[in-house]
Amino acid sequence: MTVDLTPARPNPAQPSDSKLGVGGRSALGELYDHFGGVAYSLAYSITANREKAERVVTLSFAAAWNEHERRPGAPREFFSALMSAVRAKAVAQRGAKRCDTGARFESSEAAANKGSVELAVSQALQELPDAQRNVLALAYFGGLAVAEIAAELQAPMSYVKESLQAAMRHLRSVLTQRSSDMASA
Amino acid sequence: MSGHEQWAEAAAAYAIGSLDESERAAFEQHLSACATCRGDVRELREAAAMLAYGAASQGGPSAELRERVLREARDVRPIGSAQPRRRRFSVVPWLAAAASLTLAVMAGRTLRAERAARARLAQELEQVRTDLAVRDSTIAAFFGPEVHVVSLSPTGEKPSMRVFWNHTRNIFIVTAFNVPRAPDGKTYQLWAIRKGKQPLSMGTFNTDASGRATAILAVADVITDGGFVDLCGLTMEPVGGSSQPTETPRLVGEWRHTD
Repeated sequence: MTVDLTPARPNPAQPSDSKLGVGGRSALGELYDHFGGVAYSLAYSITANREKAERVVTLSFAAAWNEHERRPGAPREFFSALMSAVRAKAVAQRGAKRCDTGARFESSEAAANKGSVELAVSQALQELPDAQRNVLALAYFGGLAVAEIAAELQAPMSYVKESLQAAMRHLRSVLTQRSSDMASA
Repeated sequence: MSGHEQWAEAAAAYAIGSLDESERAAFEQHLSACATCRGDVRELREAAAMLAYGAASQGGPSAELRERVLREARDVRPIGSAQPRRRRFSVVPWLAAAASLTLAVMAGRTLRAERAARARLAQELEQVRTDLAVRDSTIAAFFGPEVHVVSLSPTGEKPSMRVFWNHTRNIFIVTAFNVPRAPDGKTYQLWAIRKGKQPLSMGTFNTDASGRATAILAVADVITDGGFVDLCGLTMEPVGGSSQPTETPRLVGEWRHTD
C-alpha cells in the first residue's frame, strides 16, 4: 500500500535551480515540498502572523538543513529537528506567552479533508482527556514552561508533567499502532 | 530515589521544550548517563514533531517561501567537512516513516543521491590532488644540482627520448616520444654503459599507442656503486627484461649534467 502524503496545501512554486542539490531539484527542495506546509501551519499557529511565520519557516529549514549537513540522518530525523526548530523559533518570535490555545488543534472533521496523517494525529489528540489536551496545547502552542502552566491552571507542577507525559505516551502509542495498521493494510 | 526515577516524568516536557532552563540543564546531565531516557526522549521528540500535523489550518505559505528557504539554507551552509554519523533507527515505526512510504523513498533517495555525488566529487578531487603531487614531484626531480640527463636518438636523428638521473632521489625519469610501442611479448629496456664494461640494466618500460611514455625507475645499487656512467642505450627485449642486451642499442646517448 502506498500512503498518499501529498501535502495538504501543495505549493505550486517550483524553483528554477536550487543550487543545493544535484540536478534541478534538490533534496532540500523535496523536503520543503513535504514539510513546508505543516511547518508553516505550526509557525502560524504559534505566531498568528503570516510574515513572522514565514520567517520562522525559513530560519528553521536553514537550521535543520545545517544540522543535517553536519550530521546526516534519516528524513524523519530531519523532520523532528525541523519541527523542534519551528516551535522554538515561533515561540521566540511571538514574544509574549499565549494561553488562549484552545482552538489551535484541528478538529477531526477538518483534518479528514487534509490527509491521512493529519487525520490520524487529530484523532489521537481528540482521544485525550480534555485536561491533558489543554496542558499539551499550552505547552506546545502556547510555549509555556511547566511552571507557567502550573501557575495558569493553579495546579502542582507534578500534575503538569504527568499530564504531558501521559498525553505524549498516548500519542506515541496510537500513532505507532495506526502506522502499523496503515503499513500492513 | 534514584536519578532515573526522579526524572521519569520529565521526558515529555523536555521533548516538547517546556522545561525551564535550570531543569533542562539538569535533565540533560541525567540524559548523558541514562540510555533509557535518551531513547525515550528520542521517541517522544518524534511524537512531538507529529503534533504539528494537528495544528489548525491557517492557509498556506506564499509561493515565494520555497525559494527563500532554499536560498537561506544555501547561505548558511556550514563551514568544514561533514562528519559521517552512524544512522540512528528508532524502534518505533513512526507514522511519518512507516506510513509515509512515498516520503521515505523520495526524500531518502534524494539525500542518498546527493551524498553519493558529493562522495564522488571528493574522490575525484583527491585523485586530482594526487596527480598534481606526482606531477610536481616529477617536475622537481628533473632539476637540481645532482641531476644528469641523457638524450637518446638514432644516429644522426633528433632525440626521441630523454632520461633524467636524480642522484639525490636515486631515480631515473624516463620520457619517450615518438617511440613505437613494443609488440606483445616485448618491452623496452634501458642500459647504463661504462666503457670497457658490461652494460647494466636500468629497468624496463613500454610506450603507449601514441609512442609516448613517462616512467620512473629506481636506480640499482650496482649502477650507483660503479662510478661514472658514459652512455645510455635502449634495446627491445622479451617481457621481463634481459640480463644483457640481445640486440645492438637502437637508441643511444651520452650522459651530461642538466645545467
